[in-house]
Amino acid sequence: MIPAHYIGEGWKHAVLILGAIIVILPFYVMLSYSFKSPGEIDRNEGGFFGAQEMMVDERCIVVGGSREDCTFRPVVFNYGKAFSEAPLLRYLLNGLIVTLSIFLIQVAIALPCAYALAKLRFKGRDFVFGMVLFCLLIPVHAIALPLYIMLAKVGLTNSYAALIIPWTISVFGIFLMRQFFMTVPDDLIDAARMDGMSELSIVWKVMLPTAVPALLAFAIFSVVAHWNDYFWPRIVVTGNRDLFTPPLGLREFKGDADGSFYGPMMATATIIVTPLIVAFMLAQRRFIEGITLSGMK
Amino acid sequence: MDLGEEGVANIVLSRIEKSFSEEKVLKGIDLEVMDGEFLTLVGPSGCGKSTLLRIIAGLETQDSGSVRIGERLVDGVRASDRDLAMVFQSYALYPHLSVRENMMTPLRLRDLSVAQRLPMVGRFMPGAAEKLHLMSQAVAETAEVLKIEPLLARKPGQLSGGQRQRAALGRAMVRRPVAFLMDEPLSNLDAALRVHMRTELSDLHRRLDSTFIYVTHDQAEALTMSTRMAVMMGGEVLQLDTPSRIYADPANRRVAEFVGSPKINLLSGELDNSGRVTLFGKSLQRRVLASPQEIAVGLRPEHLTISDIAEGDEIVTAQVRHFENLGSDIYLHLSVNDGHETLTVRSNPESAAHLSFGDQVRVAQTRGAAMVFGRDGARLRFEETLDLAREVA
Repeated sequence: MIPAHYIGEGWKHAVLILGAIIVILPFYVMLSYSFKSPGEIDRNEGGFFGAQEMMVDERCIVVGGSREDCTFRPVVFNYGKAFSEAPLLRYLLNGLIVTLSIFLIQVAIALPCAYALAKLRFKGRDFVFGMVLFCLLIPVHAIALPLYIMLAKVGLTNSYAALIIPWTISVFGIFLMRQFFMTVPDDLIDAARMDGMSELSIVWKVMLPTAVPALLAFAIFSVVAHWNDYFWPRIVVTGNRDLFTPPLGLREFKGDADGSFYGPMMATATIIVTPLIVAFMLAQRRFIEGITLSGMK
Repeated sequence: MDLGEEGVANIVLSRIEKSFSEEKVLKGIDLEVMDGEFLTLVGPSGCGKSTLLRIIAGLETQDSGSVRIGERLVDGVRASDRDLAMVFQSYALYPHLSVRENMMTPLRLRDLSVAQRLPMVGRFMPGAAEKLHLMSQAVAETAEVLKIEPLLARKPGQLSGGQRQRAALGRAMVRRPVAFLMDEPLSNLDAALRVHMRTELSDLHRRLDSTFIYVTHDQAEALTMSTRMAVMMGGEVLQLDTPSRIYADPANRRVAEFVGSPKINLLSGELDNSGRVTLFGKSLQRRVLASPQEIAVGLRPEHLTISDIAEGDEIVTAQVRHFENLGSDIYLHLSVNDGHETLTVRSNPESAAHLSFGDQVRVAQTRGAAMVFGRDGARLRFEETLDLAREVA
């Protein structure tokens, strides 16, 4: 006879396991396809890794390569194609430039704002904070068109600026940091003032170091959102492939009617998500600390 | 700013007023803090003492009135330029810096130029090495005085409350300020440490020979440490004097009630036309010069005795309600008039030993100890004391 609470526990685990499978399955497919040959993908065989038998790239031969030159292991073929078919390194670099610039400028703006909203007394502070909360409600897609038109008028489309500028003021960042700063004791700020710090150096030398966990949480939100963003780069980058961010790079593999490019496409996808997953694994503990906002006491 | 040559650096506050929204927190405070004294601002929470301290520090701006430090009018001068140091209740150490770096911070900001403060390269700027050497010397000296040398490399998170307290004191001391401002610095310590730190702070004050302005809600701290104490209530200074005079000769009823633990006994009495004070149907010998009114007679627990035990003017019979045993003393809580009034009497353990709950005892007062407060709370003086005061004047 199994005790009743074991059954309850069992149910919980069953539900959680099911949820985990649903979440992990696409990753599994992505990773698996990135290893397999087109034939194996078509016929849906070969398990997770595929047989890794040598395969011949038909297109290579069409273009005029010799049979030896066009024979690869599927995994080499997929990942090789990912880098050769599209300048993936360039895209990764673009992604890095764009996400880092966005994050740094967001911090440069959000921290002083959050400090003012949390710790300075001025007329209209509550109204301003109300506006910040209000802005949290506006979906980006609603203002994408006006934003695009504005950027087009000043001639900034097809530039890094177009990819970066619209995201530099993060109301979420201001809100998150403000909430965190509220927990920092006023005495600490007064002590810094007595020591002779200016308000700006208080932000950078006192508030910033105490807010590292919150900042890290915000960093992950921001970097993930903009690294993975497909919508906005797709709008403002038209034509100039040198400005493509990694998700745009995936488009390079679309529209191949024979479907044989799933392999390289999934390899590209794997390469794109890997940096984020690695970063999350490394920062996992602090990330969760930051979300729970377990402040300093 | 070197005030050594100018001599005295009295801190003079005149007519300081401050309101937060509608509420008037400070109602025209006049106060002169003498150079080198330990002045305590004491009062219940919300009396404006912390606000006053913050105005002196420059962290808060007064609505009107002025603050003078030595010869200098400091209204509108930044907090850091007033040459004051402050110790906070929560210590307010920078959590990401070691104790040494915490203590260096005010010196770096005051003594180094912007270029010399640059990270990495700053120390190679001309003159920086020499200044840094002097600064670390100052930190080392202060650490030695406070006996915190072993803690210098640690972060505040790794220190106990008492150690953080010392580190915060150290950060204040390295600057060698004109005056130290302390905002309830002992409140976060446990009781035993708090009592110990009182002695240390007094000792430190003697050694540094510097002005201390100390804010507390604890009248015991004020009594034990101050040169003078200012009792504040409702945004006003009710009385400013030495602790012993405030205790023995409070200017009004609120001061008398606030200072002293256990509280002073306030007994309702009558004042007649001839100035005779009647208490529990018996008149006191001395007379008061005031119009007839209901009055309160203040008698401190140590001025009352159980007359079976000791001599004194017997005033009333009371019933024992509670024994508060402090070891060295026993405070007897008595009820008078069927519990309409209560009395606290200090007694020594030996003499109280034979008493038990519910006993009837006769209470006597020490002659000349009673204080009379009028209906509005003002102190009403006895005739002789008035004459005496005139003679002295």
